[in-house]
This record gives sequence, C-alpha cells and structure tokens, in this order.
Amino acid sequence: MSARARFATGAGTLAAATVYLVATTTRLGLLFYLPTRGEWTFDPPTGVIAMDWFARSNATLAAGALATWAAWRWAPSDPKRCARHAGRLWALGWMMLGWSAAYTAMWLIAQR
Amino acid sequence: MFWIKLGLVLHTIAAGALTGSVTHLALTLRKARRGRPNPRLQRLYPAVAAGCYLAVYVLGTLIYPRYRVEVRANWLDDHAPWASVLFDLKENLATLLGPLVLAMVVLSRAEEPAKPSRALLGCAAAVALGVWFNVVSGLLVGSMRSV
Repeated sequence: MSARARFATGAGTLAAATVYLVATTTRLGLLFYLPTRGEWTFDPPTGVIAMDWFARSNATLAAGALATWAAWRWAPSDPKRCARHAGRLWALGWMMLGWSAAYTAMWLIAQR
Repeated sequence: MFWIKLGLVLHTIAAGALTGSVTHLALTLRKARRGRPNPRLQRLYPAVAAGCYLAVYVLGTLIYPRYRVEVRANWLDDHAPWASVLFDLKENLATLLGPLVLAMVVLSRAEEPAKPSRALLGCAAAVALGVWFNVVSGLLVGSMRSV
C-alpha cells in the first residue's frame, strides 16, 4: 500500500512538473485569457494583456492528478519492484520540480 | 469591487490556514520519524492543507485578472517591476506545489503513522517552504504604496 502510494504520487509529481515545464518553455497550444476583453483565445493579439497562467496551471494540476490515478491503478504488483520504481520516479519528480522553479525564476527575470 | 476585496480577504485567510497546517505537518512528521508519532494530527493536517490549498487556488484565480489589469499593468509594471516579477513567481510556484499537496494527502492516508516516508516529509517541508515564500511575497506586493 505504501510503496504503491509512493509510486503513484511520484508519477503524478513527475507528470505535473513535465507538463508545466513543456507548457512554459514551448507555449504550444496554450489558451490565453484576455482580461480587458473577457475573452479566451489560442492566438492573443499583440498589444493586449494576455494571461497564460490559467491554462498552464490547470494543465499542470490535471496532469498530476491524472498521472497519480493512472499510476495507482497500474502500479507493479510486486511491492519491492514498486518501491524501487517509486524511488526513481520521486528522484526525477524532484529534479523536474526544481528545474521548473529555477527556469520560471530566470524566465521572469529575463523578461524585465 | 466589494466581491473582489472579499475574495482577497478570504484568499489571505485561507493562505494563513494553509501555512499553519502545512508547517505543523512538517514538524509533526519530523517528530514521528524520531519515534514520536501523532496519528490523528498526521491525518488531519494534510486534509486541512488540501482544503485550504483548493480555497486559495480558486479564490486567487477569481481575483487574478483584476490584479493583472488594475494593479500590475496600471501601476506595478511602471513603478515596481521587481514586485511584478515576484508576484508572477509566487503564482507559478503555487502551481508547482499542487502535485505535492496531492501527494501529501495520498501518502498520509496510505502510510503507517509511526513510519512516515522521506517522500512525505519532503513534500510537507517543500510545501511549507513554498507557502511561506508565497505568503511573504504576497504581503510585500500587497503592501506596495502602504508602508
């Protein structure tokens, strides 16, 4: 039970951090909110305030929740194997989270 | 205007409760790993933290567009660009804490209270640090033009 939970949450963390990083670096397929117009668009016009945070944030949280559920469901049945993979998933998940936070800080500072 | 202010106040209250619950959880788990578990609190704090995170997230989402136009675009970007960067960093960090909050809830339900894993303690400590950073950042940005 414990190894399975660590496996599932490690997968969820890794998936969320990966989706966040891909969405932040590529901006591919992001839905933008235009707060001055109250509209949503994939192709924001230049010179208009456009917010991509909603799409990036919701995609990140959805990916984390979905991957946690899927990994829980399809976790290896052998507890030892499950624990070994859980350790690897968490190591990768922490690395991706750290990388995402560092990239975001550098990206925001570079924009100024 | 009233609803936005009310949303901001509730967002702040929920953020305070989140900070308290997750900081206490990290300290409780540290004790548990040293042989002094508290099963009731080790189950309660993650649930409270998750509820508060959800409230902070939803309320923040509702008031964010107003901030982006009225505060950031109309004032911060011209007079205090560092505050704009700090606020954006806080918002993105809050997103990255989401999967760790979920992990905290799942792990605290699945694990033996007497033997919390390093993953659970790591989640609680990381969320606590992130939330403290966000609260201080929010306070700094929110207090612009006050003191």
